[in-house]
Amino acid sequence: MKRSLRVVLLGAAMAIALTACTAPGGSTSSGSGSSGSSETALYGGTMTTAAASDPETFDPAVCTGATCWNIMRMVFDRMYDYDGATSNLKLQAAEDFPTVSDDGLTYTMKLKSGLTFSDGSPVTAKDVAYSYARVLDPATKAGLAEFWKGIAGAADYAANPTGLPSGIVVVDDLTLKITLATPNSSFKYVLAMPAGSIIPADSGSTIATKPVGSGPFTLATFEPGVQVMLDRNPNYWDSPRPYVDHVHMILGVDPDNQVLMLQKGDIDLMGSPIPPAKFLQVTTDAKYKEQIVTIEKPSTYYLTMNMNTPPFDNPKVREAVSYAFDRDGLLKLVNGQGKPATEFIPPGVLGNSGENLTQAQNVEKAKSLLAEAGYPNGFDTQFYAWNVAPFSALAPQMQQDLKAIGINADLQTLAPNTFAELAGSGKAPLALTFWVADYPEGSDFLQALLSCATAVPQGQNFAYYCSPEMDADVQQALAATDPAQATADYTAATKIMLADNPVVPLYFGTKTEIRGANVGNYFPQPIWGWDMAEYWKADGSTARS
Amino acid sequence: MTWWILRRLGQMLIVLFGVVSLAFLLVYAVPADPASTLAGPNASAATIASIHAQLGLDNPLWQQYLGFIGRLLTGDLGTSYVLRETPVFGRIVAALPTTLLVAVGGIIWQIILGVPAGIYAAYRRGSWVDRLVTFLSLIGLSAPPFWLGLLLIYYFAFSWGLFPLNGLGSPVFWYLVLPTFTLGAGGGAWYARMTRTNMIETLDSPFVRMARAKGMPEHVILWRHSFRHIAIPLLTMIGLDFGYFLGGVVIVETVFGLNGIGRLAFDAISNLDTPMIVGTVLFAAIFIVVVNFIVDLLYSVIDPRVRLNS
Repeated sequence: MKRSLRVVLLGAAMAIALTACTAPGGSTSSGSGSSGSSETALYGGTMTTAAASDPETFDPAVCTGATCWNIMRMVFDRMYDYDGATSNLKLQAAEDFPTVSDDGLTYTMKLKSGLTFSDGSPVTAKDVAYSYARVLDPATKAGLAEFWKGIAGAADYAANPTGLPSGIVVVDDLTLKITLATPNSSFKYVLAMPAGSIIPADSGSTIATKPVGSGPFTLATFEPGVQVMLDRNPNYWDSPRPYVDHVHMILGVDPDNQVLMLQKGDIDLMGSPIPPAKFLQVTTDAKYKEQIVTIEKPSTYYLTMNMNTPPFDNPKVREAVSYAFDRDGLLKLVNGQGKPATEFIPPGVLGNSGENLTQAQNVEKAKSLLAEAGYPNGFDTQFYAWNVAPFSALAPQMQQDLKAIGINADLQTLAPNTFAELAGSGKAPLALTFWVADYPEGSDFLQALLSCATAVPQGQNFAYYCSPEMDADVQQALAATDPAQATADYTAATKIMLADNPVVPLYFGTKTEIRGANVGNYFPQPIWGWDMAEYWKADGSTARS
Repeated sequence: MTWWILRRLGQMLIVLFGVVSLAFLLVYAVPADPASTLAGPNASAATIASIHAQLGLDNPLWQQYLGFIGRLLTGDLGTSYVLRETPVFGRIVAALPTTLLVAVGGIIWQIILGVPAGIYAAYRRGSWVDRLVTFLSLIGLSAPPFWLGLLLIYYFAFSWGLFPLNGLGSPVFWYLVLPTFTLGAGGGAWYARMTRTNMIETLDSPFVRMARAKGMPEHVILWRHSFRHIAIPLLTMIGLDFGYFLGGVVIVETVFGLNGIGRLAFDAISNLDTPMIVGTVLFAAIFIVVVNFIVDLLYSVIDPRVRLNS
């Protein structure tokens, strides 16, 4: 029997070892690109796609993974959504943009009239109110509930989830009024997140398995581990969209295999990023030149220094580290997928200053700062990173760069969930991490990652940075109605933060995708990934059959 | 015989209990929180804490463990943390047919590739065929399955288009050729080596010399008398492999996009999906234990000297 047990454990060990090959599951994708083989819309056909894993759920309040995220956008409508390849909002279920009261607290929104769910029932303000309130109910287990907690009465509702939070009021069948506790100019973007999807009132218990939405597609079949089939919603309000009749999603396809299937024409779009090992081969092949799209992804890759852990409690030490890295050199290691970070908030996100606020590599300067700090001979420390690309490629070089200024960093690469636990609990003196925008507003970077509120165990503030001055500037930016004023406030906040060096911004990410030869009007959406309602098949017909 | 079977059944239960307990506890030894995986990368500390509490992960470990064992005794393996609303038992049962097909196919390749080559190499010991078999089995043993799988996919499915690239379809046989070969190649090499070694030993034994001396035809010596001798170790290996394969073949199922137990286990471990990890480990353990039991029973059929009693 000993032998049998060993075999079981060996299998488990192999599986654990294999997780090292999993790509980081970026839940959001990116940019601004275009492609398309014909200018006139073509109708019909099936868009075939592949995904590495199953959709975790069809519940929009719960979904955070890349596969279900794409499905959420097909099955549900939100009040507002992102327009084409931009980060600008457009109207979806809403008739007009919200009317915001002078104090910035009350949002009055009107639904388009005549919208229906795929089961035929009308979409009303009551459904919208229910969908939003549900995110705040702890029983829903919504991963991104935090974004909704700015609604007045959210905490009381979470404690006693009956009816609606006091901040959500149904005025009439088509009108909804939302009151916030504090002004928050990014709230309109929250409404465009997957959790803002509109579901029929009281459908919470069945939505995860039998999703009913008012979006461009409806879920036809889901065979776990095998496939998802979506059909065009013939009654979709935004006619003539969607153009294709079906979307077929093949599940459980290894990313390497996805590339081969796409090149062979078996699939039209890849759900996973191009794997690093195949990247240059695919992107430099002249045959696929027309099919390659690179977009700017609103993301920042950065190093955190835990300010509670000596010697990183010393500002001089942190300043020294800010001079340690050669950003161009690091980008070469990730196939050039990005551009050197000039500050913390990436371009395309409100609050990006357009100024260069980072330090170029300067080994001498770094060494003298370390000497001033009392470490003329450097010191030993620990450095943590994910064990998957691109981190596994970056971290060893960063270790060398640190060595050059005298810091001996013991590098540990960990599985993503282990890393999150360790860095979140404050046990990582140095950690290499990244952030992809949930929405294009600076608060999603400065508030979510570096505010005093997040400097707690399990939080995302791996540096445990806390600056009331920076927090105040971010609050001011959120209250600003003028984007130029908001940008100025965010820039001031970023300058305060970067002067303290809790983080070293390394690069802003880009994403390079390959689409199938038969996909028309393709563009990646910077926030969502796909905009399936807009794509068509190049071999489609000119009129709807 | 009855006593022997009862005793073995008791031992099987103890092993399964131990394996499941170990799997459950090992997941807790991993310094990571399933709730943070569930909540997604951009979740706040408060949200993670709330989900943590909802999953009952705040309770003391012994309480969680007892609750888990209690549910297990009623046949409830729980619901996946990651694939919401998905009962673990149903999901594993749905993945079982694919794994069964791959396992049987892999075993067939192992036997086809390994046994005749091993027998022939032993019979023509020292010949070029023997050296070729030794050389090929070295390659077979050294080739990592994921590498071999990717190579086969690239040439046989992508470049030459002889086989499908991914998943299962119709006819199923066509989709299974590459994954089962990938699975069987390494094992085939083992079988060839083991068959060769055992066969050489058998062919050197006095009863074979006796048979030759009295003029028995070579094919009768080889296939009727000697083969029966190597059948016992062969059966042990097949039994172990079958049990192991049925538990899910992690690499092959992942590389070829097959919806089997191995891929479920792979995804579950990547996501720290405790109920699914424990469920897949339990199934794997059951197969290994049961197949071992059957193999032990078969010993007595093949070799009359084996008696099943204490």
